[in-house]
Amino acid sequence: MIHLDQVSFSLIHSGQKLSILKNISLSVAKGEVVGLLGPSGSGKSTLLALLAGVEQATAGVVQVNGVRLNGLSSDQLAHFRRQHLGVVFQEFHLVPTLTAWENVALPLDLAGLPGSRQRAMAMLEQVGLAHRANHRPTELSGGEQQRVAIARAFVGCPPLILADEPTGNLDQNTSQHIIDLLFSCVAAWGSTLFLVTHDPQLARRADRCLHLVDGCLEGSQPCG
Amino acid sequence: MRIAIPHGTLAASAARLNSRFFAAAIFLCVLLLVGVAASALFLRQAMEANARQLLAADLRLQAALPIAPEVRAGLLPDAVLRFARQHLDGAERLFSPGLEFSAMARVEGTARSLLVEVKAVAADYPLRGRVQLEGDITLSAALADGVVVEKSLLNRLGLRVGDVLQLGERSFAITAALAYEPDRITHLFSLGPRLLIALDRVASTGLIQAGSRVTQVVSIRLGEGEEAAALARSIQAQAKEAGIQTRTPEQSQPSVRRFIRRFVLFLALTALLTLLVGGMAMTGAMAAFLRESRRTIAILKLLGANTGQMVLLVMWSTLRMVWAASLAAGVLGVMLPGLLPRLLEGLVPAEAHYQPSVGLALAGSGLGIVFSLLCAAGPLWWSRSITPAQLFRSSAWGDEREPLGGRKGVWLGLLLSAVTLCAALAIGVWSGEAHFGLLFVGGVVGLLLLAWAMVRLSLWGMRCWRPRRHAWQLAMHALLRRGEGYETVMISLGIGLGLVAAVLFLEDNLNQQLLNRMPQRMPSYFFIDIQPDQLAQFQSLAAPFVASQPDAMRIFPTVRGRLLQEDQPVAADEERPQAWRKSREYVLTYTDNIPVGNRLVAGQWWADPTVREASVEVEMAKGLGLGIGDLLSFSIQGVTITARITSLRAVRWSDLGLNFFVIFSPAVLQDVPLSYLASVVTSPDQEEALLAAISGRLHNVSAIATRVVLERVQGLLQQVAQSVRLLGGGAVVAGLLVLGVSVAASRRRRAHEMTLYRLLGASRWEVARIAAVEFMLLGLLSAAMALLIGQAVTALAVEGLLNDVWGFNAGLAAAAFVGGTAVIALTGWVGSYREMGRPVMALLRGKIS
Repeated sequence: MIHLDQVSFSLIHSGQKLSILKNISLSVAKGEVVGLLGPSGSGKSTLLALLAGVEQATAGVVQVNGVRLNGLSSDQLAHFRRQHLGVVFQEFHLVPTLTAWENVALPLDLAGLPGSRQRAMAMLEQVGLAHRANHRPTELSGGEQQRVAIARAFVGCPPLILADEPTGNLDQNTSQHIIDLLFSCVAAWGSTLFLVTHDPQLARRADRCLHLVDGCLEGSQPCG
Repeated sequence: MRIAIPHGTLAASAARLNSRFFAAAIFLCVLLLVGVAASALFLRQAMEANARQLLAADLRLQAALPIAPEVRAGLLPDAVLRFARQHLDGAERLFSPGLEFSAMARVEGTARSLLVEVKAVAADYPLRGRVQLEGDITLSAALADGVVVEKSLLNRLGLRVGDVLQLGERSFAITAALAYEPDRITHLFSLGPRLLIALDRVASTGLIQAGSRVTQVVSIRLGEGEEAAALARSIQAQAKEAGIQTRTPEQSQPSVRRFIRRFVLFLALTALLTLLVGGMAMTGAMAAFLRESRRTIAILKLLGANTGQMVLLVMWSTLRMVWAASLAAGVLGVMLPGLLPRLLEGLVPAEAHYQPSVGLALAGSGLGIVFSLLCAAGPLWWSRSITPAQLFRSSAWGDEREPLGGRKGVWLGLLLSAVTLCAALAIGVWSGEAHFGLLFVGGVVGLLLLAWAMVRLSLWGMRCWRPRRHAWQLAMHALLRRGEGYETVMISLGIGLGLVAAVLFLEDNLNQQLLNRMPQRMPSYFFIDIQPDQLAQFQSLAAPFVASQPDAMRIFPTVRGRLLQEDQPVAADEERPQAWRKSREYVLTYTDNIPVGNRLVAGQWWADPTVREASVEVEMAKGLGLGIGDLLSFSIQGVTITARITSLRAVRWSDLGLNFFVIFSPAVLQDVPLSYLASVVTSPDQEEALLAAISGRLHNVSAIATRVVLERVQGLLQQVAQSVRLLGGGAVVAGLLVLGVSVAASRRRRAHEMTLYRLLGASRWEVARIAAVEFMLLGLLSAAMALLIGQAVTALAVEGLLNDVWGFNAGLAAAAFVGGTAVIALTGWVGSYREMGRPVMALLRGKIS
């Protein structure tokens, strides 16, 4: 599903070159759940951005679900995300001016797929928010917003889900519910899940964990 | 129209933040542009549709030729009529002769008198159109028993229909008041009200003397299917030779047409300036709208929205914001000429009926929409830099830099200016006034550069300033932060207010110059057509009233002559000022000494009056390409006189004294029949008595009151100034919109700052004071810029164009400065008032971010 070969990412800041990721190589199989751990500033979010095709590696090869992302145009990358990807963020990133069901239907609308409303409503039903379908994000609690974000990530049945600290903004109880929901969806759709987390409770549920320190991958090991 | 993304995705944030500014800016721009275009169209239509009426004929021949003494008894326009009969005689053609001249109308037994524009007409006048009289009487009946006058004459002389009026040696009953005269537009610049009299009664008045300024007219009605233009072309050469001007309906009143064309062009260019400022407001609103929506844009991009979808979404959102405003402005714009008739008063015939054009309304609305989309294009291009990667870094949203600040703003400003200036140039070229367009373009480029330099200078100055008061420090820092985008605000407000200030200052300068200084410097009256045998009597009649100051009474012998070149009259193409200057009639004089107020700039004044020499006004000499040593020839009553130019003079025309383009040495006009022209300065309380003394005894002598002339000029200037003020007001509103956009764009951060101050212990009053100081500083800088721009434009116009001395009115400048500052400060402060009262808990709960 995911194949990274000698991937590096650097940027120029105030005339100085900053290396964010250094020679990362890894493979993730289809249906696998991989947790990415590491201290703040170690490059976790950047690695996720590379997998989402919103940043381009400065060296190495990034291949996701058979698509080589290096050198693709922004429109080709947008098409890739539409077809292959769902993303869940710590900050939810819902469109504040749209209702819950409109947010969920957005990926289907962008892909020009018919019946987006019905499919969005069905998805909200699955995450237990059918009764809040016409509410805007500001009218929902943090946990509810994250459930809408999960529904949006899964509504297009993408083969890969990227999750960036999905429980980072939630209390312990709500976190547990969200983790359960996320994993049940992954299981139900047979998706691959690549998640960045600081939460040991969440990391324990992954098939294996990767440790990123100072831009370098320090090896892969079973979680827990 | 269906797009893949729900419309509400961006439209809701647009509605919440900037759509009202965007819509207001486009409304204003479209309204002004369509309003000006509709007015121009109305004027043109009125001129074209009523062209025949405006001429009161199909073809008109006219000339200010002397009337032969033997014909004076019958007073027919002999030379022109003979010419018409000789060259245009045809079975189906009708000739209607007439005379036009100025004269004094008096009320018998009183001192009341008034200069009137006499039109002596034949029984078949008008050949086209219809004269409308008040009351139930026909023109022929009215003229059979007396004269017809304009109502303003009745009002000014305190007369009524039925009363008697003295004209020259005769008394006439006023038989009707004139309600509408088809060729009224010919009197746009007239000096007195119209008086219609039957042609065969003019002789009895004794008003026409040798050298009298009389225009002979022959109006012609052509036969069915005959074309006036072709006919005029066929006799052009002979007419030129005879010194007769031909006028077809299409060519009627070239000076009026030129005035209207320039008036409309001036309005169009001022409207374009407003469009430039409005464009800044719209671009600013669009940028702020997209910045407000950038998180949403990033989410959409992350979810797979491609470039095409993003462009479509932004354009669609823009369209939703502007269509209603554009349409409303287009509709209201085409109705403006009907709603604001005062602006066009006197420029179109009273009968002209305004028909709003649906096409123009739609075209204007369409233009507004296209302009909006163009304004959206810049920020949309900027929005390419929003990447979904920012979603992975929450800190990225902390960067609140103004999207159009710095170089982007400069480039966008340059682009907008370039588009507007190209449009201005195109309009100028299209109107046949390319130099005017170029002048405007140069002026605007200069204005923008000046405004930009002043903004940079004042901001640099503020950076060096360290105020002691805490509120001033905080306010100044807020002003200096790039995020506020205040540079654009200051430039647009400076230009908008500067335009209004320039109109105010210019009006004030002209008023000061023309009216207030008049009693000290200018003659009270000009007396024309004083016959040689009346000169002594005139001097003795005027003497008791002449003010005790040097040159209070000046008298010059004068005669009219047409300039000749190579012994032929120069082509009379009146659309070209140069040619017009060559073909026009000149009032010629002779004198021994150089007149007061004239200064020699080249050559020598004649020492020997018996040598034939000429002195020419320097600007006229430049225009005609004449210099010292050239020969100058004039045709005076058919006789050619020639003299060598031996000096050039600079003349201060604004003194409104007696001045001449061409002055000859006494030897040149020795044997020419002359009449006299006099200027008299008297005290204001003696004016009426002087007028009564002269007009009561010398009936053929006409008096032109300087005050009346100036009031006429002032009236026309006010009409133009009123229109420019309206458009300048539009530019100010556009500038305030830019301020509104900027305030709205920084609302979130402002709320955050203000709430933070309050959290840290500042009272609501203190927070309000900080905001007040911030906007007051902004107002002070913008108003100072406007003041400088206004004064610079006024000084250039007064010194450069009017060749006069620019005066600084400190009181008016202070009022404009304080007013401008107050409007800006108040608008900004009120616009951010809501942010001052946000509950502190909102910040603590993270509701303000």
